[in-house]
Amino acid sequence: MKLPGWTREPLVHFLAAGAVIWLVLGWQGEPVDPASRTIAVSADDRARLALQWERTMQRPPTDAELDSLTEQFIREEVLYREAVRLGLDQDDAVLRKRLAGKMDYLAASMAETAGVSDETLQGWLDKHPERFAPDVTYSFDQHWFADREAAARAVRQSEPVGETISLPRTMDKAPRSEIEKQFGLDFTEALDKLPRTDGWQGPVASGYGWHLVRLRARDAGPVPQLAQIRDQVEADWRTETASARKEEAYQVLRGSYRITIDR
Amino acid sequence: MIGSTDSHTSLATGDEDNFFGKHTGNEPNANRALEPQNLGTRQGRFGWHYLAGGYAAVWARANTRAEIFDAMMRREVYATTGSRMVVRLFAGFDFSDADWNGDWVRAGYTRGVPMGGTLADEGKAPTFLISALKDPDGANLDRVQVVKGWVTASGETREQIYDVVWSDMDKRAKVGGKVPAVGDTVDRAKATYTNTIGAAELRTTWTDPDYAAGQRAFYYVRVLEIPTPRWPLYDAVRFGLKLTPEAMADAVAQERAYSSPVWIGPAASGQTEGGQTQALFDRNRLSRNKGRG
Repeated sequence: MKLPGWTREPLVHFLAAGAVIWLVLGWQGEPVDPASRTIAVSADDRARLALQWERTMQRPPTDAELDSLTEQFIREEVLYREAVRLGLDQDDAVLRKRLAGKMDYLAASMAETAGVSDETLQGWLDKHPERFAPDVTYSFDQHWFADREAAARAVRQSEPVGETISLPRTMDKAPRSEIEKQFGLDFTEALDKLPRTDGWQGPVASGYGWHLVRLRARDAGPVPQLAQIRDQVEADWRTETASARKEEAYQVLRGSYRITIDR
Repeated sequence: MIGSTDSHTSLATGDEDNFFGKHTGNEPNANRALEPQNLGTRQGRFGWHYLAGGYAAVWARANTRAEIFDAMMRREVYATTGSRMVVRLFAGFDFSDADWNGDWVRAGYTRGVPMGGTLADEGKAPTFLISALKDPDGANLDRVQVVKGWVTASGETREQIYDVVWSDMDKRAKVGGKVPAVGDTVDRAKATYTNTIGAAELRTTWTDPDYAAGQRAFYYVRVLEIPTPRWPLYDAVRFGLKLTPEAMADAVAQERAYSSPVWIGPAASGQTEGGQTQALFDRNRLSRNKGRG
């Protein structure tokens, strides 16, 4: 028997082979990555589980307990992989927050773990003595105005006159807490930032309205030696540096996005 | 005279924007504002009926235990619903607006009596120096009221409320004997308010227009803030909760301060007013010393 000529064409062979592969795969369903169906619990994993247990319970787990921990770990892993397969990780607000938090953590981790030199901390202490001095005091005079414009006009006079209110015109060597009690938090924080000068400054906002302030003295008082408060300075430096790094890293990433907001 | 929490949380979180609940069972959560509270009653009491708390204030000469107890024994105290307002009240017979130009607190103590004091009737209407300064981290002040109480000849108790000083007095004239409402800046959707209405400080010299010679009466001061959100509104915003209409109608309120009264009555025979007060102080000191054994 002689086969027709077209059966010898390479193109036909190619198409037929293709059809067979397509049929077989179609019948088998979705291809399975064998690796994603294997859960290998390594000795390292078990050691980590044992360590976590020990941190909570203050003793190592027994063999039975470790086996039960391993079972729990496997259960979580199976459910986790299936959840990802089903796409349950999409549009989940908690996961989004958690992952975003991990990015922040990565950015800040250098500041969290890096050893810090005494020079850096001494510099930090010199820059922010008021944070570590137990009794910073302020001496200042103030005039109160109900509205901002009146205060802004008065600040140009050499001896401004304020409006009447039951607030002390002048405070001498008053601790921060005392000023906060009398003038409120906004005013006290503004006072921290005012430069020490002989003239009137302002308008400075408070809960009462607006003030002109003549900051006569800001006395940080005796600042403790670094050696005595190293932990406190280090914690403060870490917190501030970490949040600065987070913000820096975020700004770099954000810069690479084109963002449109419909309003 | 008391302003306080009745909470069982060991926390000094006395205000609307940080209310941590009356007890551990209603720490902040999405349900507490609308849950029924059946403590003792079986009907009609809900979470939002509860107030966040308040403060008691004492005019002591020093921050010592003895001075604070002395001040409480002479009743020189006031209370608030949670704001830290500074309230002064002095009663006498010869105060005038000119006193505000000088050291009026000294004038108040030397020519009159402070809140909690007793004033011997001198046959003319008493005059009061009243001053209220807002909480620097809180809301502005709407108005100051004097509440007068007395007993009629037939034995009935009466009270009369006078609006004595209020913010923007030139623009808020009394209508039918009443001061119009100060307004409302509370954004119900965000639980915020602005200090664009009201005043930072209110003070006045007030003389009782309805004085009756020989009548025993008390006068106390009430200071009202502009409307601010109550804790159920903060809860509603925080937890995306929809309040019931009754709860919503009560979600904004005017916090206030209320002083100890000054009492006025006929002078006891042979005793001046100063003598009376002195006698009162002596009695207090005596009872305290007794208490110490």
